[in-house]
Amino acid sequence: MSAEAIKKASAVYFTLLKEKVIDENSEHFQTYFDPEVRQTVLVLADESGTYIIESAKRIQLVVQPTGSVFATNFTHMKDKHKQIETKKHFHLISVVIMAFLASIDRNQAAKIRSQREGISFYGLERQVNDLIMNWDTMLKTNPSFGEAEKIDMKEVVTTWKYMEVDTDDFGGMKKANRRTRIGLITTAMRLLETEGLIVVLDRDEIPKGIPKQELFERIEYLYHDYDRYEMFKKLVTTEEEAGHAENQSN
Amino acid sequence: MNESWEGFAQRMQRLNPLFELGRGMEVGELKPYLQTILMQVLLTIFYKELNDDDGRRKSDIRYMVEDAMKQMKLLADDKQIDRITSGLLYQGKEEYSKPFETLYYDEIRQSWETQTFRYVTMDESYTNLELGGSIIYKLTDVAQEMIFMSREMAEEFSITIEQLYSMQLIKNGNFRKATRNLDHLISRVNRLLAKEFTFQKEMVNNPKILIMEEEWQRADNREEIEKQFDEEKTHFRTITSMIDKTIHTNEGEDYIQKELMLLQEKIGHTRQLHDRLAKLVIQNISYEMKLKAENPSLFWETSLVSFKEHFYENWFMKEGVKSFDTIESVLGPLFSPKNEFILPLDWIWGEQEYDEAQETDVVVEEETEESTVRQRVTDWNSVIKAWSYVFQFLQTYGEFSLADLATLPLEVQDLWIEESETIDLWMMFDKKPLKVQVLHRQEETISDEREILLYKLMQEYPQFQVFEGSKIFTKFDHRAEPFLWQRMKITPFKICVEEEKA
Repeated sequence: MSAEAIKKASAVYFTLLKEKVIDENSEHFQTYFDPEVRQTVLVLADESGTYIIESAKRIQLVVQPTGSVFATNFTHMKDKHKQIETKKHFHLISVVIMAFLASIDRNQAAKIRSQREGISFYGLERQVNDLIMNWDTMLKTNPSFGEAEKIDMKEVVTTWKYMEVDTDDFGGMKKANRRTRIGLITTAMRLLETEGLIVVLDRDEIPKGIPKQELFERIEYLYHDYDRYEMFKKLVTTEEEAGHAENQSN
Repeated sequence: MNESWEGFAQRMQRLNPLFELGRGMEVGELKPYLQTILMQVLLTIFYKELNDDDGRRKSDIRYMVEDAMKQMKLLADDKQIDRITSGLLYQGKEEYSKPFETLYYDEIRQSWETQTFRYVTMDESYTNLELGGSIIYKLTDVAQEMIFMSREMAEEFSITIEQLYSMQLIKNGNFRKATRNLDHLISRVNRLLAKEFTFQKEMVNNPKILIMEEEWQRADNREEIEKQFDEEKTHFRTITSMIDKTIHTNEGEDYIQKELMLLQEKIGHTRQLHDRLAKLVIQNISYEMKLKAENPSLFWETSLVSFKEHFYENWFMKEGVKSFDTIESVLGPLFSPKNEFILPLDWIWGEQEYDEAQETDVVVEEETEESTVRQRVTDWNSVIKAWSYVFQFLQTYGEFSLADLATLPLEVQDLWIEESETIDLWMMFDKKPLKVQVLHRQEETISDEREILLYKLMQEYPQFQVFEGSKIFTKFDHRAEPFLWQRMKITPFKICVEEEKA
């Protein structure tokens, strides 16, 4: 690796750290695709627990599921919800994000352009509700499912079920709050918006989350790849086993 | 009376024929299908006219009705078919051959008026009036209007059809209408142009659309497309020569000459647009072929896995989650590292030699810092004031070197360190040249901080509005040495301004 390449690669990597996304108009974009520079940037990224997502228009930097030294907007959100009482709200926010991803993610058969339609917060509320009701049935038919390590899920289901959909005060801006489902969704969508992955339109009427190309590229890289899917699965099994062992030793 | 009434009577007169189509016929269970059948018949007549086909007698129309119904899998007896046929030709009893009558409200006279119209009428240039025989029908303006209205919705007419129709109109001496039809042709070509542009953008952004959307798979029949463009060019030539001929035969008739000139101009414009479209389409096709040949990997549909199916439906939904750590691991990488340390200026300036060990240190440090979220509010007043000096220089000398910062009056220098944004903007100008286009925009729509700066400067100091349209870029100042100013090591690059070349 030449010193020159390392210098260039660091410049690219640190710009990525600062900007998160480098688009084709940046000088760094061209630099990055020099094979030697690219190789070096990838090493830097891997060593610091990050992934680089490449596309024709831009490169993006995200954290790896494990081993990253970096905090993210997501981990910030988690830190803010550390208390037992608020933790379940963070879990619900995660559930909302999942439901959102699922609703905009279509298989290759679907038309690309129709995906740009996005989903209204109320539509998303129905999606989340479907998932929660599914879990509810699951917990009911299999009461032992809620034992030990699975407490999280039970709590999340109950919290959601007893939550109002929306406050009655109409006319005002939708506020992000923990007390209503729409409030939770607003928080989750704001998180994605801050990350630059969606835009929220019609904020004062029926708000809708519209995915940006950046989000599709991240989904494609992270979740449309079989090896990475296997990795997630494996990761989770290990986590669960660890959790299980912990529970037993208690 | 408010705007909603404006031109109301005219609107209704255009819509009434649509509303009336097939009304009042006693055909029992066929009633819901009448309008669809009759519209299809009108279209058949329209295309026959375009193709100089004289199969437009009443018996032919009856056959069209029958044919349309067969196509639509509808059953009817002879009596019903007769009724539908005559229902397109006249209102009420066939014997009276009465035109259609409807009411409309005239907003100016403030009264109800009667509108009389027909869908088809005798085509005098085809009906043999000397020898007798049966009437050959053609569409009335009213019926044509209906077809054109539906065209707007369906974008259905190809360029070729529009051209044929124009020729037909010119041949019949209907120059004004031919001119109007060229407007349709222009709007059609414009729409196609816009579509091509969007496609070009999308193709670059996401080449996969090339395999996903069949309508765009054109590279394979490139020859056919080129042939069609050629054919269309020939049509334009024919139209032009038709106009030329007509100009000659109608010499002396000022009124006609004027309309013909207009027509000629319009056809010239349409032709240009069409050429541009042809060029763009061919260009896109070559681009498509290049993409396919050089980057086949872009088209491999490698993703057998999807979030919706594999993660959401088959995993989280079906199996539930045993621990929310699972969901966090899956969602975590959707996010970028959050990074709140300010990169050292020297580094941005690109002066320093790189020392990897040092870099790692910075990263670790960041960890401890990052949990504090700081919200920075920029005091733009201070920023603008500081920068106004730079822009004064730019206005007078066309450039400003960073090295000159140290020569500014001390109180101005103080302004420069008051707001970190002020200094940060230097680096932004170093990114890439900025074409100034802010004057007529809304402040809220501007996101580039350099543009915000310029916008605010122009608001505050109108003399800076001369920068609108010019290009602002930076140049390395070779003569000057890197220097220290306010504890910052600074590379003395220059900000320059270039007037737009008109």
